[in-house]
Amino acid sequence: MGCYQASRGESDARGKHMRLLAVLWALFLFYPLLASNSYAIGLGVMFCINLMLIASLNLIMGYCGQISLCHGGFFGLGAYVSGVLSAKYGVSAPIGIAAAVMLTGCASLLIALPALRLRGHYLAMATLGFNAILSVLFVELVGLTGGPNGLSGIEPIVLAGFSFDTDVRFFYLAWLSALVVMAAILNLTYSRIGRAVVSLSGNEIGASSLGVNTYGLKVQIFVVSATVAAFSGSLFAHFNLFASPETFSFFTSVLLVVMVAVGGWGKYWGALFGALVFTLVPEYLRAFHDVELLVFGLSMIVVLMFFPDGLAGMTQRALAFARARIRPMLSTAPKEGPNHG
Amino acid sequence: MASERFLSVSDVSVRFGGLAALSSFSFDMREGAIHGLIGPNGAGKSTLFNVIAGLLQPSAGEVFFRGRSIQRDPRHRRVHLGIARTFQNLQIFRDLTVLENVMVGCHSRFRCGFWSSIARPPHQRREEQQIREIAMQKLEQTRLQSMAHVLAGNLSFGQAKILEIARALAADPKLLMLDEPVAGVPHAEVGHMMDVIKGINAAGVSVLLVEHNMNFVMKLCDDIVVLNYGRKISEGSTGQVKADPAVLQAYLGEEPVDA
Repeated sequence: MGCYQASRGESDARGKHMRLLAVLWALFLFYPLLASNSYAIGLGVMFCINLMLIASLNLIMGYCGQISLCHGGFFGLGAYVSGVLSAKYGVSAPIGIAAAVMLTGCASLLIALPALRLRGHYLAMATLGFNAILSVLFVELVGLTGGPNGLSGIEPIVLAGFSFDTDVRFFYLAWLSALVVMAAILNLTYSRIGRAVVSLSGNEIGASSLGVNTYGLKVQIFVVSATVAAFSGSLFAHFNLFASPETFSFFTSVLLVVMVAVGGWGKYWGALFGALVFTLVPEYLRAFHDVELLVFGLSMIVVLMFFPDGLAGMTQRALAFARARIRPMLSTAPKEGPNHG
Repeated sequence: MASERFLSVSDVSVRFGGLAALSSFSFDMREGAIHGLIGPNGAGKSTLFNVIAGLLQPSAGEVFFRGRSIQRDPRHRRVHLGIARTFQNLQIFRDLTVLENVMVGCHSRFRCGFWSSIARPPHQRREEQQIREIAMQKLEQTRLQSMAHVLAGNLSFGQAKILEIARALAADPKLLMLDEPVAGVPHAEVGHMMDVIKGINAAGVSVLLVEHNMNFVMKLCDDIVVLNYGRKISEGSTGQVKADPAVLQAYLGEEPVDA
């Protein structure tokens, strides 16, 4: 009896997010019809790619509580492996993407095994070092990557004879990929594994004394997060048909961390807000030319100072406030934990 | 013979630098008992808990549980073997709800991994349902069910202590180790805690507890071990330990020889 009600309450929280995701993505499906030109559609594609990047970083940093400063590097590894396989060896894109995801998975496992024995600042330093190594490789392996000039000649994705060679076609691929990643992360956070992940980020001793293999789980989530980054990287490469090393520098890794924070640490919808900011704000800031980065940095500081739980947390509170004002009867309804917000 | 022993600590020593927190400490605990572990501050009680739970590797000696050495098992494995614990300074998950805290407690009893968590096949959903039911049942057993959807960080200290017990119980342990269950708990809630622990023991769980509240220990425990300066100074039933001059000396100091 009591149990049944509790179960309803729990699965409702997941179901509520899932329904919202379905509605948003159904609307988003019509974006190419509204977008006036290929530039706007390109922004839609980049939004999906950034969303997967930030959501996967939020998984390891927001939910699992482990700092990773090489997400940009994994993004780049995915882009370069599938890009090089396509441009230099003529490997078909689906196989190249699979190879990129697997290779990045192995690389991230190699870095995770020693690095996740470390905590806090030491973990930050170790992952930062790995990003630096990758950045150097992208620039120095000129024969493969094209070096500082970038890698050109990447072929579009062809799946069963269907070529994703226009912006609109590619949009639907990115749309679907982002939907799958977002749904997967939602399901994961409302599961035995997801609860263990959140518990270890708050209190590792407590989690391990309940039988959670905290080290093993951290390594697993780190690898998952890196492979999603690699997947978005290879989509990026096959969309732009070009890759250049500065896209995947340490600077990108730091910006991605900032986007997780701006969206909201460990908040499910945080990644969505982070990806919106990451995709759109630089476009508007183009007008500021040289001070673009300065304005970007300052606005991030302002958001983080006044909204420590990010744009997702801010929206959540604004909605709760509005709801309380409009329908006072509902304001007493029990609230779910903020972790999944 | 070894298989008859439930929990057996054999010749365990723990050294922190020059300090011997435990010196050649041995004791046996029988299945089904409520066993008390007492001693002045710094006697090595929490150290012993950490050795049994696997948070500390002893410098020498071994721990046996249900007839086999658990020395090489990492701490999360020991939960799977049937040892669960609570902490003197709370280790609850403050950002999870009370119910979710207890659901994490079920972790060791279930199997569903990463892929089924994402794909949610029917067997995973059944498992989630079971986890929820077990957790709710543990909350009812400890009378916390009304707080199920409250964030654990918002509980009172006494409630949080009970939550830690409910969470440990969710792992379905054979041995439950309680580190100072009533320290800092308001007087009015001590009786409730005693009922909770008695109920757990009656359901077949052996309990090993550290506690400074002597009244509580004497009323609740079947057997008692007394530690001082990392050594065992007395052992036996509550009556035997109460009458032991070595215990009085440890707690009250030596009688002055001459004024």
